[in-house]
Amino acid sequence: MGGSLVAAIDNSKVESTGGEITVDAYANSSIEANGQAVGVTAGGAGGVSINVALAAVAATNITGNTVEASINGGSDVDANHVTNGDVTVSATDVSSITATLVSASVSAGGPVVRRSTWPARSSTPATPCRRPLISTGTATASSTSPTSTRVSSSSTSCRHCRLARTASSATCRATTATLARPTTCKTGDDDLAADVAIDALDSLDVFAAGQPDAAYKTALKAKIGSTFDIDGDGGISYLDLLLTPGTGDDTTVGSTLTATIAGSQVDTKGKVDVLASTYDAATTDRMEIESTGVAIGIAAGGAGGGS
Amino acid sequence: MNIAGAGVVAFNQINNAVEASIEGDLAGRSTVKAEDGVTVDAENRAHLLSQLGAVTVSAGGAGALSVNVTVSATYADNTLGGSLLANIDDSTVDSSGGNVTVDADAENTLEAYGQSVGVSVGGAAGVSINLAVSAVLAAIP
Repeated sequence: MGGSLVAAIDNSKVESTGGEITVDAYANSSIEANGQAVGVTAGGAGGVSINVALAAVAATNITGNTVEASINGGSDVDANHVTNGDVTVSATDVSSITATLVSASVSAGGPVVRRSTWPARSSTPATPCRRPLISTGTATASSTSPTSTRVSSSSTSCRHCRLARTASSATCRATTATLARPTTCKTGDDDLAADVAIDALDSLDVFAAGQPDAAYKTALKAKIGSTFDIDGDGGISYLDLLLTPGTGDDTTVGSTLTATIAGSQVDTKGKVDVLASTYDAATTDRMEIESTGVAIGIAAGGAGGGS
Repeated sequence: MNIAGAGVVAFNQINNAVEASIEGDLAGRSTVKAEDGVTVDAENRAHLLSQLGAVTVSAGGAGALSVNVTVSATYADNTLGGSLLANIDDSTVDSSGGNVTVDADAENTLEAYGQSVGVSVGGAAGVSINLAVSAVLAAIP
């Protein structure tokens, strides 16, 4: 937000016989910025649970006004009223920024199993698993593969499916013959990719319709990448929380206030006031920034081989 | 492994140029005549309030290995600056019945608050590693 506000008597002749003369430029612009960001990731069962929550708050709010009140350019101003002949040139800027930002990120992993003995393969027809699928050696997982199947010979050995099954769902068997018996039951199911989480942000109720938009999500993905060393300086610090390098995420008030009588003649029966201020005594308003930021990050993992 | 990070970064700046003046320009000198005083007043009463908070919680359950890390930080860089000028330059000022006052008054205020909390908890396990790092940085150049 920025602008130019000028009140001037320029190269003119002004004569008042019945009252005061006031040249007043008054700016009272305001920014109220309220932002909320919520990120939620959740993982299912597995041998390893890795949960990461990162919350950051940054904002860009800029107001820069040019406020000018002047009598200039060879003007001739006369206020001849005996009791009410004041001449006032006043420039006031009481612009304000109120920024309130809240960011919360929650990452949670569910209970995980430890190393387990892979069961013998069975010829029983397969029942679709609703949980992770298993490939050779270590297991891989995909929460978007609800029809994947796996090997089991008993209800107790289909451990990854256990949460999704009812007591009467019997066994969960694989339809593929390529599955081998792993020595370690390990899954990355809890690792919801950052890109997936970002894409899901707009499904949360906390955002307005259409927000965050595709451009924001694309930029956020690019910033996060595969590391939290976002700025690439070799370390993780507060600087990684900036969306832009340097101090681009600033809250700034920078204004120019000028009240002048320049190159002019002023003749009055009263007083002459030339005032430039960031404070309004009548309303007690003043130029100000109020910046409030809160970031919350929560990461929790369940029991298992590694949490 | 559970990692929680939360941070708030704020750069707040108020830099105003405030000027009140009676001066000459290309049109010539200024001439001011008043019978009840002349006041030239430049005043800056800007206010900056910065409140930052960051909270992180990382908790791990039972297992052979539980690693829980929290990093919580707030950083605020607050600047109040600018220029303030009240002047009479290249001019004639004549007050026959009151004072001539030229005043530049700066009463800027800056309030900065930062809170940072990190909690890291590990459950029963063969190995439990818990690290909580919390920092509050504030700079007023």
